[in-house]
Amino acid sequence: MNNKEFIAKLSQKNGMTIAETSTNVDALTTVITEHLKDGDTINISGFGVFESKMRKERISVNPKSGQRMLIPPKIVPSFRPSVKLKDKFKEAE
Amino acid sequence: MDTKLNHSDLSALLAKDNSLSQSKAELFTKTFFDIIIEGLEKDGIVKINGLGTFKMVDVASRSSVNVNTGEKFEIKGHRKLSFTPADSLKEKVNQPFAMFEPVEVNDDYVDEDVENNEIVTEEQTTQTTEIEDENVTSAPVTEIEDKEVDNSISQEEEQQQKKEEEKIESVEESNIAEPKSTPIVEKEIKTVTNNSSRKYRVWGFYLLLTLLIVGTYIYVYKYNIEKPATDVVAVVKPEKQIKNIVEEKRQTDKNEKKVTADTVQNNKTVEEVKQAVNVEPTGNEQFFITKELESLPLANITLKDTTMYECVGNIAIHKVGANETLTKISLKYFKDKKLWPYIVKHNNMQNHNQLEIGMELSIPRLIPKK
Repeated sequence: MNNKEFIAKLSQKNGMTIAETSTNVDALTTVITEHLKDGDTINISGFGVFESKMRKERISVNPKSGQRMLIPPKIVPSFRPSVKLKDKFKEAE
Repeated sequence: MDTKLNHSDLSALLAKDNSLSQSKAELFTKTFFDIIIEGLEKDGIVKINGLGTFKMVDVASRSSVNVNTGEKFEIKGHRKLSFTPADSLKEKVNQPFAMFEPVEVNDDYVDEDVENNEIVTEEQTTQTTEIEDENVTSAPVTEIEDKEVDNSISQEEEQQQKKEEEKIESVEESNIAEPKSTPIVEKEIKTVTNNSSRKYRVWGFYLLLTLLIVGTYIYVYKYNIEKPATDVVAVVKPEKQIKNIVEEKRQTDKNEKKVTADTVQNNKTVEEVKQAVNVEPTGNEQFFITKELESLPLANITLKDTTMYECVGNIAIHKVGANETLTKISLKYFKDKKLWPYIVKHNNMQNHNQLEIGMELSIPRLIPKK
């Protein structure tokens, strides 16, 4: 399911036009990104948790050339599915 | 910052931004995530622009061990939800560290710990050498230790005792061995300092050994306290020396005149020795003694040397120049600086300490005595 299909399905379910839903989806994603940027966690019950994590700096070695690179620290957005969702997919197998 | 948002917070924010009613917004967010789950169940992948991709990942079955019972069991293969954030989301979240870029690290950076260790070992070795300097008499022992690392401690102790005995004997032989032993001691100190580089690796072991040996030496030294005292006494007491010399003279059937002359001279040298000994701090600081003893060899060795040579006639007459000493003159004519007392004896000098410029000295021909 790509973005187009997703928006089509969402508009269908909410009784909105595709243009409306796409602006709403954009608005929702910007809200999520803004809060992740601020270091907030977004907990959606039954789905999972969006959070931003700090990765420390590290030295990586290129196995071919043996070149050592210092990788700078960074903040990474991450998603943790809820236990409920996890179990759902486990059972589905 | 660091606040927790839930479903209703999110929909409230959405309503505020987009002029949606609260109920509509809540419905929208609910359906938003529901459709994601739905899409995942159907296709296994949902892509949302500006947020990222949700994807189902197969996890193969693997065996594991129960930590409590140690039993092996199999974790069954299952599907797992993974989320890869979109580049735009990544960039925005990582904005505080955006200016950093990977930097190549130089390989030839020096490990500081190693350097520190080296410094420490250097300090330690200097400490050990200091200890050895203080206990100069124990220097032979440390020498043994250097040469025969593999020997057991008991062997070393035996050897050390032997060395001591030798030393004591040599001391009793009218101080001849003593001045010889002092240069040896100096050499030993040098060798010890040279070997200090070799000690780097096992300095701890060495330090322990040296302490042990020094301890035993001091123990033995306390018991034999009279013997080290005798080297001082022997130096101080002229009578003993004279006796020795007289005995030697008798053995070699010398005529008595020369004996007396010798003894007179010996008395002088002994006086000199006395002065030297008086200067010394008594006994304990042996390092200073050895320093003083460096000046003694001349006086002591000549005691025996005078019995070994005979003065027969003159080789030359020497006029004393500036900055000349008896030892220099001796070195010039006899090629041995220790033989200066013969010049004193031959010239019947009353006070050999005062050599005047322009003084004429007759240099004797020295023939080894039988």
